[in-house]
Amino acid sequence: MKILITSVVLVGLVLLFSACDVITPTEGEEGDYTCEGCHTDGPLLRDIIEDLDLVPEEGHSAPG
Amino acid sequence: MEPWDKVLIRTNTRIGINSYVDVDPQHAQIGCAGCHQGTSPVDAADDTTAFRKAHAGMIVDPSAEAEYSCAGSSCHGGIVRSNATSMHTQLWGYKATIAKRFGETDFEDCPANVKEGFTKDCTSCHTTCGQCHVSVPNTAGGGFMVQNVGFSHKFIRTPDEANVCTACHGSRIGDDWNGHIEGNQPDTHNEYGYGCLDCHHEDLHGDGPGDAEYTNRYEVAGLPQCVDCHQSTADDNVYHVQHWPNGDETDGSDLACYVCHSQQYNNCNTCHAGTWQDEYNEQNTDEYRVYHQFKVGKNPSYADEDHVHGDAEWIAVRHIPVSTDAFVNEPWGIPDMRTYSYDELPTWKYSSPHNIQLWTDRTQIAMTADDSAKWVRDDLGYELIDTVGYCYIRCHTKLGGAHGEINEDLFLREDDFVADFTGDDLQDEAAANADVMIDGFACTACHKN
Repeated sequence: MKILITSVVLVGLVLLFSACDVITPTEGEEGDYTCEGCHTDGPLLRDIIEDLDLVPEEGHSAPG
Repeated sequence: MEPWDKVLIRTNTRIGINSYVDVDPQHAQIGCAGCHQGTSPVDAADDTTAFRKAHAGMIVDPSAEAEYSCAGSSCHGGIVRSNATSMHTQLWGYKATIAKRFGETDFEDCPANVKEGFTKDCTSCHTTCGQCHVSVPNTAGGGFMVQNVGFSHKFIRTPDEANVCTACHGSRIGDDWNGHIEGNQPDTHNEYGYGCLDCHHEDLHGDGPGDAEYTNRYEVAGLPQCVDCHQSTADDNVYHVQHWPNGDETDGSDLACYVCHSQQYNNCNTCHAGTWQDEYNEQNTDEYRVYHQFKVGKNPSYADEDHVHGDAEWIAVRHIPVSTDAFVNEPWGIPDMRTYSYDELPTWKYSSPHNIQLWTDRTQIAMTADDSAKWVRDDLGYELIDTVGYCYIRCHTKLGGAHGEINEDLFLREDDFVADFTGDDLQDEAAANADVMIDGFACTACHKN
């Protein structure tokens, strides 16, 4: 049973990883967005966040 | 830092950092969606649509549920399990203190509104794996810990002192450590190049389920003590001989090291909840109702062998941010804490200022009124040559005599409860601090025998 469960988990992880842009980055396709494609592109990231007016909460140090 | 700056993974093909794989090869194997969920890649006609589609169902901080992320695939399971019951995660000290102020011995027995308020106001400062090892903690503004190419979103084993440790522990520890208080020097250990983890060898991820027994952060196993390094100073000068904290007053008054060797430090009045929170949010200033001061008080736990601070009778005390109206806001909804057991714990508490100096206002007796140096500098450092008749000049107080009433402001006295530094009336806290304040200045305040 342990072997079966481990196998299922491993297969699941392989499928998950193979769908990830880091392993298979999508490049050069118009309109095709990936996590890494945006998060490594400063100007694009800035434009999107400013367009959406995303302003995260400012924190403050306190506990000491 | 701009919002987009906080989440930008910096690459530079000229130095071989082409993608996240080059930043953190091990974690890159998991992939973005492996931890953060969401969707990638997505087809979309425009950027904002792509943003929404990609981030639908996304988990901003996967390590907030570390058992399903960091502990996955047998990676960091041991640390995650230990951390789940650690002081950092569970805030055992806060829970024990709140329980006691509400007249309970167990936090879980507190009223529902108290537990709800704790979740709302106190646990929001929680940190997660990612908020120490990847990003600046949310409470300190968030964003990747290191912005340099090759380091943004890199999992960093040893958290950055400025962006993590003192980003949270800033109002007191950070200001102390870095000498940010006007007139202060940085902590001497900082000046000599030491960092937080050079002294703090305790496991910040906790030691396991037994941590739930802690009622105070000072009880954490392995916490650093001055004597870990300074073992040879117990009898090296008359002050140490007279005041070394050993829980035995017959060989001299026992002083915590901080009483002589710390500089002034930040004190906080009122609270992070209650009416103070409303005012803070309106004014949004870190300086609000934070003031620096140095006070010596009596240790209510002196000579208690079971207490972590039982060795010292005289301690440096700091006003903590709690007041009788600290829990007035919803969901706490308690107008006056005195209806519970507010007075069970002092509001001036043992303090361990991280601004240690050899020479402080108390130890620098060479600068006496008659300029008679009691310490002389030689090639090896300092040598004590004479102290008789002068040791009280910077610390002791006495009524009458040649020196009149001196050094009264060093000590926590009844007068300190008439009004605090900000002018607030603190008389409603006097009863809670009865065992901490100095009751007059008779000789017997120090000299028991």
